Amino acid sequence: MVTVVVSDGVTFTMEQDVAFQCGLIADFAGGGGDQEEPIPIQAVNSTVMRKVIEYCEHHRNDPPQPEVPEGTPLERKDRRGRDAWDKQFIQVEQELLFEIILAANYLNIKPLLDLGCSQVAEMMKGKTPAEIQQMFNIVNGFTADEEAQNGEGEEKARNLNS
Amino acid sequence: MSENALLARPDFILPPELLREVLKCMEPVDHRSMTFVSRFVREQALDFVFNHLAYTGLSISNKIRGIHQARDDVKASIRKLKLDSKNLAIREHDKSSVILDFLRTLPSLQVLEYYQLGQLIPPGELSQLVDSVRNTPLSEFHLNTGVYAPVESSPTEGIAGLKKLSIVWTIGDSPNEPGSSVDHLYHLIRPSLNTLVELKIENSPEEVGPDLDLRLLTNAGETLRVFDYTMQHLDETVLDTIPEIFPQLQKLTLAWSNTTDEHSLLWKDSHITSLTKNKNLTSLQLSSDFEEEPEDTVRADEDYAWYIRCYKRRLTATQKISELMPRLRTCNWLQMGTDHKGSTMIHPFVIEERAPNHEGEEPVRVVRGVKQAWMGGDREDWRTGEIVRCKLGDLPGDIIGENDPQEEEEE
Repeated sequence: MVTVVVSDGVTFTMEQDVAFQCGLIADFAGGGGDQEEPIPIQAVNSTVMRKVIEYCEHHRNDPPQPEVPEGTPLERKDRRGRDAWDKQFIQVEQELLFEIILAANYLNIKPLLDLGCSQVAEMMKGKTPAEIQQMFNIVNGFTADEEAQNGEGEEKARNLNS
Repeated sequence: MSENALLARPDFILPPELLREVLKCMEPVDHRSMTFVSRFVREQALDFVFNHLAYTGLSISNKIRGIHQARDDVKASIRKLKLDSKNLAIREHDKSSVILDFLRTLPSLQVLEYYQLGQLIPPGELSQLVDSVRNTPLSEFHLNTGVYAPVESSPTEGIAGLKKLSIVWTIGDSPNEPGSSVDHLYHLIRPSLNTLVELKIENSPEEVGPDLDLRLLTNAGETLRVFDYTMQHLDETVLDTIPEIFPQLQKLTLAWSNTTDEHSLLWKDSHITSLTKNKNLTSLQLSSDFEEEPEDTVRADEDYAWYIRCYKRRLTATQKISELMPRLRTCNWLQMGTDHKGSTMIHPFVIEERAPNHEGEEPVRVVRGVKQAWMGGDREDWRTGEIVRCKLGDLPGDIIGENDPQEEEEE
């Protein structure tokens, strides 16, 4: 068994095959036997950790994911691996979604990171820049000149790119 | 995370590296919207929109003029650019100038594919093309000079520091200057000799001239791993020269493109001795001619018996090579001029390692053909009407693939 203690002091105990889906915990434990001391996870709170453990428990028997080939960093990610349970799991409030992404990144759980990022992309699909700004409370920060330029040569260039 | 995380902010809630993960999941049309969301988002999203640009088609100068007006951050995100036009009317100087002006403003350009099949920039202006990207961090340059023309002016010094260089060279000798074409070609390659990992040279001017002296490329010997060379003359000494000057080579593609009678270099078993000097080779492709044996009096399309005879010769040659080149995994034979139209055909073979029958023995290396278009069913000889058995089981060796569907049903 592996025990972790998160930022708000809550401890979680889980089986190794669940815990070791988190690369950070697997590295910390060194792949050895039961840990005597709880592993500190300072960047994640108990609400998020519960979701993370729920995900890891569901996927404990999944085969390892194939490595993404190097040299194709801008390739669009394949989302076929997102099953119905995943879709339901990731339907959460926006703030929690971002916290899950940050936790997945910190804990080094690549499939959960991909799931979270894919959900954010899905939320923005087909939206205009103004709608995205409103959805995420973003102030664009462009100067008036930049706004004008955004609409001229650049858009023309985009349309002509073949 | 802070409770105030979702308050209005000038940037995105995720750090740049995670925003890029989100962008990887998005469609191109959404990448475009993202460039207008905020300055911070734009910095990440521009890469996804403009990282790789390809301008192809009948007329590309207007497209280039359009993107040339874009902001500096757009141009800074362009890392790979392909220019390929077939429009002969684009030759006017001002339009060439737009292309050159645009190339000069790309500070991050790493890969340039430049195919001047429509003479985007005349051969005499090749130096201007090269100069326009000389200050970029270019590591890959693909050039197709496209039109048959003689060299002009003095040679252009190529770009230094390239790792991958590919040149299809259709430029011929200047009148009264035999050898001037390959001299210009050499000068294009020379500055990167110490860094090249992959080099492709297709030397095919309209009129046959001298081939490049490969010994001039000796300085690439320590770095070069992939060499693809098409030469004009049936010179078999190149088989000895290549392993001598490129001892680290892992992939070799060699074609003798003899335009005089369309036949490549006749295969001889003695070539194997030369090939085995390539100690690190894992992939080999040669255009050796297996078609011209004394009994081969017919050379015509769809002469299946002849196909089979030549296939058997290639299989035998590959088996002999595989025994002496333990790292080789693929061996392809390029057949040039397979019909009256001068078509080409690839005959691929793979070399598999299988577990030994007894403990302590070396793995067994097995050569297997790969199904080609003419294989997989019985074929009718176009002259005699006789049936030639071309099902995989009837052909020599072990072939990867399946018989044609109708043949399977009949069986």
